[in-house]
Amino acid sequence: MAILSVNNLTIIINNKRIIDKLSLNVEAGKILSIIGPNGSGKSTLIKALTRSLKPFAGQIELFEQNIRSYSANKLARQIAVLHQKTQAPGDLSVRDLVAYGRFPYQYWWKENHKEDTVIIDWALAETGLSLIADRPVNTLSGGEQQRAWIAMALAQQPRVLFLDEPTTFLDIAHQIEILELITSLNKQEGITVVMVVHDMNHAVRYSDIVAVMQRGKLYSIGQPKDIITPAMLRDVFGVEADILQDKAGQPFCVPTKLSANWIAGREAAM
Amino acid sequence: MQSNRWSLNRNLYSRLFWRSGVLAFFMLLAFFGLVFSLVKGAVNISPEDIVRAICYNGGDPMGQIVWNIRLPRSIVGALVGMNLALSGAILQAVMKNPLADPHIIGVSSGAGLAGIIVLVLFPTMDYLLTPAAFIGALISAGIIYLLAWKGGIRPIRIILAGVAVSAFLGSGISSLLILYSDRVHGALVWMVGGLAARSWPHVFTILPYSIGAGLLAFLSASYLNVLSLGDEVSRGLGLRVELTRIVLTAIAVLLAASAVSVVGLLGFVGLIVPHAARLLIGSDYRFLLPASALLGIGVVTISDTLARILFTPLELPVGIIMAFVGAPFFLYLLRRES
Repeated sequence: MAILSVNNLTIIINNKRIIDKLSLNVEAGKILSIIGPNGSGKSTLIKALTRSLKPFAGQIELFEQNIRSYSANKLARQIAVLHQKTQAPGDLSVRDLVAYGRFPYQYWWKENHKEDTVIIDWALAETGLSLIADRPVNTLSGGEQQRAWIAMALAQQPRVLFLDEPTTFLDIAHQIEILELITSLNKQEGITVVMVVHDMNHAVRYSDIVAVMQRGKLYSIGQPKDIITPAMLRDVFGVEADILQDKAGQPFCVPTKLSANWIAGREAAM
Repeated sequence: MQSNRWSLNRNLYSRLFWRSGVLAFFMLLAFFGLVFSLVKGAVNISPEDIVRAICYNGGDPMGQIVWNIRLPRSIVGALVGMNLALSGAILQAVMKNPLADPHIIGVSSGAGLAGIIVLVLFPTMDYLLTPAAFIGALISAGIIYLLAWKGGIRPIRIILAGVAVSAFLGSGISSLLILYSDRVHGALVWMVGGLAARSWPHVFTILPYSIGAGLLAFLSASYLNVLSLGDEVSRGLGLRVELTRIVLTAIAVLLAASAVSVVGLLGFVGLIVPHAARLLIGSDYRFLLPASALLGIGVVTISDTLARILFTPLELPVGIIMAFVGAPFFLYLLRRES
């Protein structure tokens, strides 16, 4: 079942077509990774899917219902987003930050403290933050901060989790840690994941479906082994690459040099 | 594991303990400020006399002083301090800018120009001062919001529009002061803000806004908290960012406009009191709002009393005392923090 379906989405910012007639379906319970070169529209797509941006044309349906028809609260109970740049007030504790994930369930005349506490504790435990829950967020390492923001998203009890380059500012061990956390949330809690991933090999290893974006269009989408090909890397990323196989039989890409079309494009631009 | 958990709880409780302690201290300070402002003045009145005057609605001269002069002035001072501090605290979150204060959304310049027009051009109609200033503040805040609107509001555009509009209105103020330089004295007092001769009508002018907008401010604490996580995150949490920002700005404008229209352009409180409170109690608005309100009450009532008694029989405007004592204290807090 398609949990999220995008139909002919077009987004124009400052008279520039950032997303151009893009259509896409996301299956329930899967991890979808979006890859593509800089400026191909990945982050914009995430923003549109989470209703941070208004489309110029096209529809986005979440659970077979137009995303525009959701109230702000209701949408925040279905989807949660981890943006690329996050900033919390310096003295906020991890627990307080995670507690904001309950905001879409609260009204100023009604708060359900008991249930909220249970869910906040669960989100902290899932992300391994229970023991440092009372520390200020700004004393945490980069990886811990990222987990705290994921915990906040979890406290929203979303059915779909969107992440925009969740590993960008982390070292390799913390990158793997975050990706494994996302995978386990997907497997154990059944949360559908849509994420933009910078590292192609990570995208392959940690997702069921890979979507490749090029200049605002979907170049290809499918299982990693069908998607990661020398031709795609040449066309979309402008590199010649060897595609090897890792022990699990998944493709593994090693770029070797810039492709001729990329160099030609650069010279044409000069 | 056991000891770990214990230390965590201790951490949590000590934080709560600290915040409650700071709140209690600010409450004491506010109470002390009120009592201090009632007791001290051209004549010193003992606390027992004050209580008697308030209970029996004063008949003797002492009672008259308390009931007709001291008490309303103290109340106006307390409400003004509370309103300006709350307004500044709200604006700092809404504009995501530590320098945001009631000045930035045009309240001061609008009230300033309207007030100066009344004081300088129509000096016989000074009963118009408060309503004119209030309307002036609302109009200039509205103009700034409209100018900054472009399919939504970005705080930085409000701040820049605020600077431009304030400069524009400021030129009007300056030219009036120069053209009518013989009538400048009352205008000058208005420009620095003061509580001299504030009485019951002023109390009742500001009180509805203190209660109404003040109550709304306290109810909006969790919205302010979410807003301080940034627009994208707030939106992701289901907050209607644009609407929230308009409503909160309107609350801040009403709080500040009601204060400024009664006492003139009192600076400093709206900017520095919320910061001082934040340095001590943290940025959680559920604690920061009451802390700012209490500290605002304390700072204004104590400063006003000092302004009255330091150079008797001469009286300084309260704004001067606040800046003189408060600014160095604030710098001390700031250095201690880093």
